[in-house]
Amino acid sequence: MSTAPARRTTKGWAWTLGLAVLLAGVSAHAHLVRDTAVLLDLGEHTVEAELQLPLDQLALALTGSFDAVPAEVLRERAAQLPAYVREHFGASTLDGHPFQVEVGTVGVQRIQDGDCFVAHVTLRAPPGASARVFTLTDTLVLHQVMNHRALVSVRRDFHTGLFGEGQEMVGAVSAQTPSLLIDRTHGSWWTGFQAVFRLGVRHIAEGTDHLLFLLVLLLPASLCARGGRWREPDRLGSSLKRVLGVVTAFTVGHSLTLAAAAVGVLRLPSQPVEVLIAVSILVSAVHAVCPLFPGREQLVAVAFGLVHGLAFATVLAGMGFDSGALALSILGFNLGIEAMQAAVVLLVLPWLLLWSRGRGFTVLRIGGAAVGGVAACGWVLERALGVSTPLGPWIEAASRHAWMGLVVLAAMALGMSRRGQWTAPSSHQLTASRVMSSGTTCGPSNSR
Amino acid sequence: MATTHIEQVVCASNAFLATLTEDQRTSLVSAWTDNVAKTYWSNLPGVTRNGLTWGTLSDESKEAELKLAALVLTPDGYSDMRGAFAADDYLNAQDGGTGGPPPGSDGGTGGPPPGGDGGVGGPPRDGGMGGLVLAYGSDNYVIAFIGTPSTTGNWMLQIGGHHLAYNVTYLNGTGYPTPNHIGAEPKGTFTLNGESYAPLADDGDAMVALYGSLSAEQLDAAYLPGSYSDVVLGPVEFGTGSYSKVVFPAQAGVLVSTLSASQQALVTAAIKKWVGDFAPAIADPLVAAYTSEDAYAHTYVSWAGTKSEGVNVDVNGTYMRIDGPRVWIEVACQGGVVIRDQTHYHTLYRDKQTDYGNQLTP
Repeated sequence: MSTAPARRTTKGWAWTLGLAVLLAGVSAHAHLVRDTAVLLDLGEHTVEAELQLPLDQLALALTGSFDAVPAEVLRERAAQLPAYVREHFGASTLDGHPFQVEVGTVGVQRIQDGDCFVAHVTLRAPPGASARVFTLTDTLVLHQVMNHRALVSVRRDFHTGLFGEGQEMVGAVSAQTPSLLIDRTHGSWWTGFQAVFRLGVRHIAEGTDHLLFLLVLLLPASLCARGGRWREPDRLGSSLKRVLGVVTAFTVGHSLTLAAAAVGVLRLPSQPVEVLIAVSILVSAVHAVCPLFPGREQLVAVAFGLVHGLAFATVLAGMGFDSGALALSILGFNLGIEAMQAAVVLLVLPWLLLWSRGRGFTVLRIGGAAVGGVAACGWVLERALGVSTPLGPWIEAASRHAWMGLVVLAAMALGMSRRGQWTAPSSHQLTASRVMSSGTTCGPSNSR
Repeated sequence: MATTHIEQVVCASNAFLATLTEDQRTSLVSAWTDNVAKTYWSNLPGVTRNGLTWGTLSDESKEAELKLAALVLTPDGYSDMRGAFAADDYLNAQDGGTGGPPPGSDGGTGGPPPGGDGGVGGPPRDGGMGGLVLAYGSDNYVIAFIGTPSTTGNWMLQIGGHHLAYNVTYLNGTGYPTPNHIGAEPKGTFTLNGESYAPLADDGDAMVALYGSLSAEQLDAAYLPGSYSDVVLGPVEFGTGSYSKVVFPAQAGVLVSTLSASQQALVTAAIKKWVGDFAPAIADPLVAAYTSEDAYAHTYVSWAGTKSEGVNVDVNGTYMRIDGPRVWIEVACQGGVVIRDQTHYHTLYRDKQTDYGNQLTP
């Protein structure tokens, strides 16, 4: 074992012992989960395994006594446990060459309704061998406890589209059959890429806060800002250019931080990031009511993109993939995000452009901004101060009817623009002439 | 008028079906080809099972279910089933009543002793089962048909719940009663609503009598290394629809054929405690097969636990096994889950050749 894991091991034990003391006497009622769980994260040449051993069964295995108090047994034997794991857990290629076994952090965790000893183990395939097919051998606990079983699942495997959200059970080991063939050669890079792309799409589709940010940002996109207020609709070409600029800037921003965080260059705690995302929605909402940064939307979009990218990265963080899979993950995930973003813009923008040339658009702009702003305030309270408000759940519930919202938006846009054309042609002409005469230029793309 | 065992059972099954609504019938019956459904049985409360729960049945349906059970089971097996139902209501009363570990438990010393209740297999975790709900009570016990009851076809009757799994497969009228699980907490006599129950007391006593008859040398030779916090072959195949996880350990212990005639009679008596829970038409040929001279030449009795305590069912971790060419009976004594200061029984009866009527193999 190298020194780094050893150091981590010691550190792991520091909190383990604290937790063990804390947990003493807590687990009063039925312990139903009694099997060991082995969770595998597969790479090309290494496998990261997380082992979750029920504390009481481990204590029984170590002492052979039913009277042993698990927390005490673990305290007494803390120093020997990494070696115990190394002795009883391993892998080999199909022709019998052993993988290198490294025991990393170990500790005690409450998993479901039971306390488990949790160990992280790295299995390294011998040079030239693949880690996608091997024989796993696990005699932990079951060398002594004859009824014990370990259920083996694959948690992460790029080739088969497993990214840690669900697990795939691949078998069990017992005293009778302590070895298990793991064969993951059926996946492919393409399968993994498609799956991570879908993950990106889903992340935007289900990420209410990202979606809301995007929608609120689009609200004033077709209008001219003048004298600290949003005025009449801008020319179509300019509006489109501006939207394209803003969306591109946002994309550049979140791509940068997503990649940086996913490869581990950048690491920020998720709470402040989540708070900043809520703040970004609030700022866009205020901007939709009265222009805060007219002409500088792209700059702001880049900044907020950087923030949102950090949040996207939490999905990819800890995937433990090696460089090839990680690069494809970042690319696929980002493309999925882009695709979904583009779809939202294409679905919503035409109606906004249309309605902004008709009547009552101000009501939509102010109303939409108000909804976004209130939701953002709710999220800020929740994420920064831990105050739970009903706002979050309301917005989540409403977002499940997004298609309905789109239909209503389209119908209203059609209705309002028609009424606008029929009842107030003069005001349009008036507006147009005023724009011409005052010589005001709108938006960043016009002013530069 | 129905005369043979299978005719009576099919008749009672149809009578039960006739008491149900269309929706209930749909829930009750799975397709015979659904091997996964056949393996949905467990010692645990709150896991996925097939069929209809007792609590949702009308009085008429309950009566019809009991009539069916009384035909498939002997009075012994029937009272084990009623005992399991009652024990769960008893646990529910204990568990809900005290709102915490009952007096006499080891509160404060660091959780339950190793080898409390638990998965003799049970649901694979994170296998999409959702959280396990610890719901005790007779209302949760299920009845299910896999296939349609028939005197000539293939079908399976399941009655099960916490600590109970009757899985009786009928192939062209012949019944195969395994895998069969019964557990009991408490393992001794208890009283519920003025009636007293002791579902596994006689079964346990038969094992105690057998091991009590062995000499010190025989006990020593029958002792298995390792610890047993539960039975070895509980519902290890849960939800798999396959035999692949049912792997019997290498035989070990003392050969029954080396025992005296009176000791062998005690082995036979113990085997009958499990097999004899089922109607004679099912049990008689099996008992004959399990206890023949040939079979006893390859049948072992063995035990495990704290050696200095001997075969003591009141000691956590005491384990007993009868392991033949076909029969597999194991009894594990483990610390109580609700009633913490006593051990309780988990028992498993399998047939190495005819679990599920040997019908899981595709």
